[in-house]
Amino acid sequence: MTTPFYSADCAANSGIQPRAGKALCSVSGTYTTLTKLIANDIIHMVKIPAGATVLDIIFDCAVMDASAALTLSVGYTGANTAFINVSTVGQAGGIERISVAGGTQKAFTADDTIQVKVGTGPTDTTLGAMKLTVLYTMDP
Amino acid sequence: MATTYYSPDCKAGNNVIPRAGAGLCSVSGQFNIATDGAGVAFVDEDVVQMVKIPAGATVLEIIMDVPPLDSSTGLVWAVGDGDSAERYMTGQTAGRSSAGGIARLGVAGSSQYASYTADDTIDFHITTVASGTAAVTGILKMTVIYTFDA
Repeated sequence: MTTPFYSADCAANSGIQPRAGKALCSVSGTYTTLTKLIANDIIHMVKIPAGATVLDIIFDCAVMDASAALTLSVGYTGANTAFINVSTVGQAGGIERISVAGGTQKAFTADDTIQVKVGTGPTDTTLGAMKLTVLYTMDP
Repeated sequence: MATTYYSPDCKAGNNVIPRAGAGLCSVSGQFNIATDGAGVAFVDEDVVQMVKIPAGATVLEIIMDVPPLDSSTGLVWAVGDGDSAERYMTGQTAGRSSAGGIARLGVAGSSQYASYTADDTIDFHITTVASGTAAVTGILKMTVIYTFDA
């Protein structure tokens, strides 16, 4: 016989309170490269406040390396691949969302930034813009 | 000649009022297999009620983050609600081969589902049990983004 399981949110008496502290926040940042990126460069894209729980990340990157070497990760201080790990999205350009298993619902206890870190630097010298949007909540 | 089409939201005079009642809501839930599930491996047709969704909500997006659930490649899961177990995601295979993953709302036509006339839950549903070793630890996480706007 199968078992119904419940997350804490669905446990008895946890209560639905529509529009009571369920608001969603967003922060967006754009950075246009000024010089060719190199390995281990870090770009601080947006600030994230203490108390925030990150729900989703949208990373939009222009074509920066048609020679297909560039890799980029998205994370935060001390965990540079926490949200997107070694993406090739910057080679041909595109959009990538949070994709690291377990990376959703990260709760921050101190102010931090959401950062793009260069893994392998590009071969080409193409400059371009990267845009990052974070959806988060301040709900406990 | 190509045609420009308009959704009802974009038709002239259809009152776009920026930030007037246009708020987004979110609800997130986690299920720890080891503690909330007492370390019992999922079996076929198990259901985990992950988050509550209130009457009147319009579901816009669902993000399902799963840990490794199957050492082999048999596991299949879905996401739905009390009326339709596979309303939002079907045939999902993230969690196979000892690797976690993230999946999103993907059933065509399921976005903007707005027929919740009563409170319900958004559920994770095992549709095919693991064929290898099934996980007895790990955390399932779900986030639902929704609105109450008419």
